[in-house]
Amino acid sequence: MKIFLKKFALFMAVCICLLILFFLLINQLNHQVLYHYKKRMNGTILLAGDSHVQTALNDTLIKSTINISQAGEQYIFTYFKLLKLLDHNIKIHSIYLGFANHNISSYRDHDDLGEFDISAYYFCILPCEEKARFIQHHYKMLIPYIKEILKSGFQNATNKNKPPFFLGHSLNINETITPTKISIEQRVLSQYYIGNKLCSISSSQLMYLDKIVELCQSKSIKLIMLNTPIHPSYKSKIPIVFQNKYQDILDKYNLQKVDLSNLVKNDNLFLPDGDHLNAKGATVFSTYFNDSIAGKLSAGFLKVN
Amino acid sequence: MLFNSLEYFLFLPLVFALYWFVFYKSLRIQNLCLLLASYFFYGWWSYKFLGLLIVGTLLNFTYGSFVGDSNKKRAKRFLIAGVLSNLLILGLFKYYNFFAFEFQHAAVVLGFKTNPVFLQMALPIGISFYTFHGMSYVFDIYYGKQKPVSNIVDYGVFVAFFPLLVAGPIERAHHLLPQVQKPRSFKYESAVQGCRLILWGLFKKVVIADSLAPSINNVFYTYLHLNGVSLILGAIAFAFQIYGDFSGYSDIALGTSKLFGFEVLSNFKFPYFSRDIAEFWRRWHVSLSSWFKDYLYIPLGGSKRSKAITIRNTFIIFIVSGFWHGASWSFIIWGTIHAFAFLPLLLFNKNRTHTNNVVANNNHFPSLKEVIQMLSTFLIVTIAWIFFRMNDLKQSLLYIRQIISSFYKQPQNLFSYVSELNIFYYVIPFILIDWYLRKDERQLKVPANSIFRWSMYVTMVMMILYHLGGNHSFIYFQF
Repeated sequence: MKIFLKKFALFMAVCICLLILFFLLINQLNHQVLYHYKKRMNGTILLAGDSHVQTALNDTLIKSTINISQAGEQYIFTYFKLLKLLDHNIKIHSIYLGFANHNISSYRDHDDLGEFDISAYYFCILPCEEKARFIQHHYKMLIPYIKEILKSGFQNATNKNKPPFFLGHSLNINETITPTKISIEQRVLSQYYIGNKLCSISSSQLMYLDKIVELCQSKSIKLIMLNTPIHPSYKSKIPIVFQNKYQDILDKYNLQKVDLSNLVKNDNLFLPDGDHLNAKGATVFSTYFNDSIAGKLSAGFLKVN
Repeated sequence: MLFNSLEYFLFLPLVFALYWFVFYKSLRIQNLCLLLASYFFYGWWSYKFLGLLIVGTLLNFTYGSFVGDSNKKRAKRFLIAGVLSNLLILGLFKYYNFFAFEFQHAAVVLGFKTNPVFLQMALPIGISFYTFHGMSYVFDIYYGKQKPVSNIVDYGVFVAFFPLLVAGPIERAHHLLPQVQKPRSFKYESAVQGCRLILWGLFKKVVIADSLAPSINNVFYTYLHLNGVSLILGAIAFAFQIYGDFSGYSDIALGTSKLFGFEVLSNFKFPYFSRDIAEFWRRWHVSLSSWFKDYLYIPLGGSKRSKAITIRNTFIIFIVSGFWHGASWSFIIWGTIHAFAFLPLLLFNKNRTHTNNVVANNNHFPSLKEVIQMLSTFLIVTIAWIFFRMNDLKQSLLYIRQIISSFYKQPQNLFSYVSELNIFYYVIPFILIDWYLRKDERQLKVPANSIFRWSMYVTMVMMILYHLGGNHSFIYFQF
């Protein structure tokens, strides 16, 4: 029995050590990718947020900007991403942070540490104590979660064609299907309601929004809240409580906002859900945005038809 | 609790430690530990159905003591009552809705209107396995192979021993009960072999079967839009998925049993290297086919009487075996296909040609004749698997029609859009490894060099961890 237990323990130790080694290697590779990305960053303005900013702003058309937004990115991940990127990076002077009203809706609060697969992509850039918290949070699916971390960490470190998932990038979606009343209604229902009940305000999203504001203040970086264009029909359906809360946040921190949610009215420039722009819409909007931040446009919105 | 879950890998070492280090001094307490662990294992899935398992155990334990009566007439009456009670439980939970539906359907055809009550409940996991354990006990007592046990805990362990509880192998009372009743000692070689079997079983389940599953699901869900080659590959892949899944489970069960000092029956002996259907059934789900042979085929007269009776008995056990898998006509057809494939062997007295040795026993490679025999057996088995997988007679026939029609309707598209070729990444290594191991399913051959051997184990563990996830259940849990 003793020999059996000894050998079994040794075997398990070998497996665990190998896993830890592999994990450390992946972690190191991800940090190297981040380090090289930071070295190559030559913009002074960051565009951060989720899929709204990702699909609406093509940073190749906007001078001095780097789009670091990623689909499905909650503020918790934006915060840790900015924490890493702004560390020893003095070139960045402004951040446009995407804000869509549903960002503070609790509809995704069932997993306040991010959806399973998305959170795994950010795992390597998290501080140690956060890593432990994330692992503890996913303990019921521990093995699949660790597997997902290793898999996504490996993809982040080895995919040479595009930036790693945790850094984000602008994304053009060539979609010709335009929004309809039903598709917009479905979208609004999924983002602001659970069943027929209105969602509450997400405390975790607010907490990390607070942290982003504090981070920018501590680094003397100008934080501007950005509302990307949304379909008029979608906008009319946003519950008032979320609009009011947004104003409260702005007032609380005296934040500047650029509300371009009314800018685009043409159905052909939207994706079917009504709250994302398609590739054509992104080109129109990015050109406008470039001119706007370059001071070429006078105040007021450009009507795009 | 699934064998491929994290819970099981916490549960197993804990029970192992309690069994060998805390309760090792008393056989009774060791058995009680196993029984409680087995009930916990089952209750983890559904504590409600745990009651059914306990009721079944008490019932068969009581019947067993009466069947052991020296008065043969009385014993026979109790045997019949015991078997009927088990069949009643099985029938109620597994087959009632099927018969109610067929009754309703038949009544409609005859012009009557009926409104039978349908049961709205899940099938208790492993019910087909543990009721067969119970029946084996009363049969073995009746045939004088086993004496009634006086200790309910010993009997409870025989019925509910957790490695075998939900998907077999289906044990016999006269084989497992004496092991439960005797003190067990830890054997290093047996424990190491057990760990190897667990590792190989997990590998087959997680790396091979679960990796094949998405392609197979895709083929079977969208078969009407696929070409013939894709459908054939889908059916072949399913043959290996179900083999990897079920034999993987059986290996884990065998390995776990070895860790606790038990030797349980083998369930799989490299079935796809069978040279005819008779050999296939001596190698596939052996514990079930031999159960039916011992407790149904032989009592019905077996092959000792006329040819007609032998054929009748053969058809009965194949059809019952199909029906055992599930309350559906497609399982009955699956069993019937095997019966028809068996028929020529029976008629020409060739059904016992390959009883002892494995194919190419003394050679590295099979002869051309053996290759043809193995391929033709595999072809029949794979056609039958389509009925098994579809679980619907009409859909199964449509699937086969789609294969045939694509050969003459659109022969130019036969090889276009075949995305299922990736199945060969899993199937070919699986066949090669099985071929290497084919002489003994219980003693896995491993490299003699310890560094090479450990590297192989570690690689397997890493591959299992890489493929783990999604909590894929075992296919045979549904039976």
